Amino acid sequence: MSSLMILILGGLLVNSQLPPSPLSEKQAVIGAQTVLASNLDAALPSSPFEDWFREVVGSEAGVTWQLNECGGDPAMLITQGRDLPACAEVDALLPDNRKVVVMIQIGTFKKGFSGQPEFFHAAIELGGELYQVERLHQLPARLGSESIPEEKKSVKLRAEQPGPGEAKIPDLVARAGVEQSPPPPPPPGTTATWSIPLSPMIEHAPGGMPKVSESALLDLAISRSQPIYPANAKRANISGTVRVQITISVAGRVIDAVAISGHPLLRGAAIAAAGKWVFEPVRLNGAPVQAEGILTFLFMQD
Amino acid sequence: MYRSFLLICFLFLSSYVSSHHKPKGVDQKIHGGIEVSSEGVKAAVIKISDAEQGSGLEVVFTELSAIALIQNSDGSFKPEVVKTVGQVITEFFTRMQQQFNVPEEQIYIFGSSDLKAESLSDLVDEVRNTTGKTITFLDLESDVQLSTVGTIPRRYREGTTWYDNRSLSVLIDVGADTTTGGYQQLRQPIVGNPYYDYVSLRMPRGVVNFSNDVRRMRELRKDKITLKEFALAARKFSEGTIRAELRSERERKPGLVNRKKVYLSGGIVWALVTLLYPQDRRSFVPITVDDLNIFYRRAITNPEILLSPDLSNISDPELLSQIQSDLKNVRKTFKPTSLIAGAEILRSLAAEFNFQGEDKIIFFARHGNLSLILSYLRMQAENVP
Repeated sequence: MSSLMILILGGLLVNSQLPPSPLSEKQAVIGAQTVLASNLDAALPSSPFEDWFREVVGSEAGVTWQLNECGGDPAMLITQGRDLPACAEVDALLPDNRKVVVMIQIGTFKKGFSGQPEFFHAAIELGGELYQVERLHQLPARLGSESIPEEKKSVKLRAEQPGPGEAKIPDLVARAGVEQSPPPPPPPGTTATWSIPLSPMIEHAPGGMPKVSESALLDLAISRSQPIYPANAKRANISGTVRVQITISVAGRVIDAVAISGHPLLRGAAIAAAGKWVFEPVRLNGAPVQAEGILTFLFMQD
Repeated sequence: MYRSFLLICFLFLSSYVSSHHKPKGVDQKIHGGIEVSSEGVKAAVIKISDAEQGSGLEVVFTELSAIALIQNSDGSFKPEVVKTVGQVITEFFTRMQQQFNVPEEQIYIFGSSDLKAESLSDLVDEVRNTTGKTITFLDLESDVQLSTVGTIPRRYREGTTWYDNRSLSVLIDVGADTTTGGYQQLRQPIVGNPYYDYVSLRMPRGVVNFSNDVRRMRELRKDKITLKEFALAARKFSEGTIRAELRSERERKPGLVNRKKVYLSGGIVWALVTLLYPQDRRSFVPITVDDLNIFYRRAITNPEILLSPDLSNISDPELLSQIQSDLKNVRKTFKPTSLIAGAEILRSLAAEFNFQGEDKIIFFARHGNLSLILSYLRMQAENVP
């Protein structure tokens, strides 16, 4: 009987085994709400971020806050190991069904608070599509129009690196046999041509290897190789996508290829195919450089 | 070491035929799906009246043939299991065409991620031979994505204001042989547009295999064991297995702990709600950690009372009949030891994923068992030109 009592008492304390977390949601959220907006983006006023955000999304928007992982690039998650960046996430659902998400990094889940909240990323969801907002000060303008505003369809190198010129929008994605989805239709009530604000196609953090977007990679590709569907995967009807992170040499050859997602039975074929691609050299300031990017292969049976 | 066995638990866990079950012609947007998972074979027929707008979905028919499809350690099935599954699929396949006029090309057969797809060539062949169709297997990420979207409402309302719901929520399904789930996570790649990632949870323990593993423990290798002995052994076993696995998951997936809304599905949660709140027929029934503890305690101390809730205050004969039917199915499906094993899994989830956290809300998602097949069907239907 005593063992049963222990069992039952133990049951009433189901929460007792959680280790103390260095982060509390309340602290994280308050930290992000009270930080000056100007500390997150110098172009914003010196008012608390919460006040500025509420003004931007309007009083009728349903706003929720929570502690969450920041949602960085999956490739970065591998290198970050087990300590994930922690963010205060604010979601606003607007009366017209658009959704705004802003992530403010406040530290990491293991080390706790970093001291100074920083803008991590933001996005607008509309009609099932997500659009990046690169800087917080862009948010009011992006929400101010009925739809995502028309923007130039060209991109330049980010930050201090001057661009090598404008690149045309590629027509394809690197998906074996599948074309990119067409852009979404304009929202009801508008007739404006839909255009998606583009992210930089090449991003170069100081000291790091330039990262080339998938669409830019396709534009640079001289020779493409399609993966061979593995027989065992075919037999078992395994389908899906495999994302392969590649490193491109200054000569445009793939010198490293690692699958970062996808079914294990499909990864080998995707890596093998990615290794055979040849690109025009990636150039920064006119000089060829070693660069990284991700190719996505889709395996689908007829 | 798993032993393959076939257990027919019960045939009609969920069956619904609407009054519109005889469409006039094949030109209507009618689609049929057959899902094979470790818990059995599910079938559903839907009508999409306006696929482009993503609305107008009508569920015409659903049915579950609950067969526990435990695989060998190499993932294969015994030939008789393959045959039985093939027969059930063929019956559904034929019925969809004859009773509901679903065109053959609009019937989709797929396997959920809890099956080890790479070892199921026999099942693939059997399905192809009996129906001429190719079975497609989902990976875990697709499974989580479809289940999450199918189960968790996109938004909720307080007063006149709508709030986003999925970004606050996590889905956990406690099945027969696995506990799976996950949550939607906005992700921003280094280059390119943001996208929704679906962070998955998969623990290779469900009510049936956990219960079987506990029974195989040394201290329980005797002719007669009491429920208390079973409960103690289950607790001991869960410490080294379930709890450790959940702990490892939560370290890498903080949303499992931090999300405010927890949607639970699966047979054991259905049993809990049916036994503790038989009259509550809502699609989403709120439950608490106290409910989990009460359920656990009653399963050990007095399972007979737990399995026979007081229905004297229910006067509506139709409601009473529905409840009695559900109770009958619960009793058929769960032995007292299965209830304890399931309750232990639920309590482990509550402890490791902080169900008692401030502002936490837990729901039983009544139609969670159909979320995968309905989402999959909808996706397929909307792809038809």
